[in-house]
Amino acid sequence: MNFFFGIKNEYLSSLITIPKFQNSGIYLKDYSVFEAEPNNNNWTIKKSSYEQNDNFFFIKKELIENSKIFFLSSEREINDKYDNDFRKLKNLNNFTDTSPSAFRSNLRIYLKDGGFSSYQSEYPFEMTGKKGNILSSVSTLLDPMAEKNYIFFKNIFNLPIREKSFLYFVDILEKVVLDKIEIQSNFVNEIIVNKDLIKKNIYIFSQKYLGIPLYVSINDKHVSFEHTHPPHHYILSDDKFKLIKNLKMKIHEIIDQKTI
Amino acid sequence: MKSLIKKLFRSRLSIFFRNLLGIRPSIFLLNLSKEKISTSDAFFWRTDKSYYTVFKFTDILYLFVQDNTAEIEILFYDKNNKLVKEIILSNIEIANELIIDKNFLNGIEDYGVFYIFHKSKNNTNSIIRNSCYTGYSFNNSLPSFVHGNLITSMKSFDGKTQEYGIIGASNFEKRIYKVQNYFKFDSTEIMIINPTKTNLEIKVNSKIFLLKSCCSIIVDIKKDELVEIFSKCLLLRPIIFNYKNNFIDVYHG
Repeated sequence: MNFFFGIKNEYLSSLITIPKFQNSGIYLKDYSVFEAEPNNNNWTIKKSSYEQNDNFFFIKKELIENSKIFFLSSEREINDKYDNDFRKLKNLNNFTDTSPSAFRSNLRIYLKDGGFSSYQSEYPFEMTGKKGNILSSVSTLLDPMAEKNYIFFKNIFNLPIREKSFLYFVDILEKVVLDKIEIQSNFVNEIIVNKDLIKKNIYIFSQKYLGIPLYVSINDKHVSFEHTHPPHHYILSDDKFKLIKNLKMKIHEIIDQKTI
Repeated sequence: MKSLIKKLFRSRLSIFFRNLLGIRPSIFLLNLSKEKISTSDAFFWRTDKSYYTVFKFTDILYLFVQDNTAEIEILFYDKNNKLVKEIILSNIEIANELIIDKNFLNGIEDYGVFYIFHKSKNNTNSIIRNSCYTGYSFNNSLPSFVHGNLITSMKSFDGKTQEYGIIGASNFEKRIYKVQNYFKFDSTEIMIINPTKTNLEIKVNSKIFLLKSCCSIIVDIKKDELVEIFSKCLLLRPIIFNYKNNFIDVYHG
């Protein structure tokens, strides 16, 4: 099961387009889009006020909040699986569990009277039960010459909590922490990135929660929007977990030096 | 015992028979039990229509195993899979950027594919994936970035063995890849590479064409709201260029 989300920002609006079909062309039956939001240690779940045509559900900007997530389901699945216990996200169905290509919505961000950019977006249910660290290069997708640069860090955790933690900007060659930003779980965290931090050696490192780092540059009304891959994407051999553990340990050591 | 079964399951022979019979077919014709291999996605470059391409890549061997002996080899092919340029980069940094415009490609204003491989003299026993980021600038606008799409090629760290077109193909039925987005733009182009070793008959909506192994094509999508790609390739995922007013959006489908 996959979740979908949008971004709400002072300058940018977003549109989520959720297909009613898998990549293989199989269409869903009797599903709607539901939205969930953490509220007093419970998930508040309700049917979303989407628009639709024969092939897609459209979640427009008016419905999008940084704390909301969206998913495909039927009323019956929600009633059966949750059984009035909304203390934890549940895996409701497998319609969006597709392989080899994941089931994705299109998440488009756009400027009023300006450009737009999108990527095929999903947040797998399996990721919502795990904690950990995300390591991602800052300079890979941001442009120091652009007028504005943002990182949006989206986390979905299965418990309906808004826990605070830190996202660090680390120079991995000089081995120093350059900045730390407070972020929240179950939220799209907006980070305005100063040009001084868009350098080759600088990576972001999340302290406690997994998430998807989304990179946005804006210049002359044009927009670029893309996510980075986690480190395990770059190692295919069986030593991948050992290599990634070693790399993350080194970052932990830098952070533990408390150089900021 | 479990490790042996895993090795057998991943072997070239096993993948051949799994794909032949359609039993748990493997997308990649890559034996993950091998070592010392640099794999590369197929990255599109384009210098046509006032485009230039920005390529951003990481020194993966330095990042993960502190191997500072690595060199980078980047091979540029035109749309007909003819090698048009090859560069070797030494003394690379942890993050690197390359501008691919018509001057870089000796005046070529067209499109094609390129691959990136790490070479190393160190005894690193890993398989790495160069799945980097390409940005596409249209009329000198801010480049629209997209990450790597599919592993398509491999080369050993010593450069002695190499293979292209390592995505599997079905022996029997055609597969559909239906892009999960709604197309309502001024115009749309999709870029496709044939990532298999065989020639493919590909149907994109109503257009049918033959694409030879590792060749690439840009297909105009007129006013269709959906994009459906039929072929025998196990995963034929395109890069999409959407145009509206003076703006573009590039992403993998």
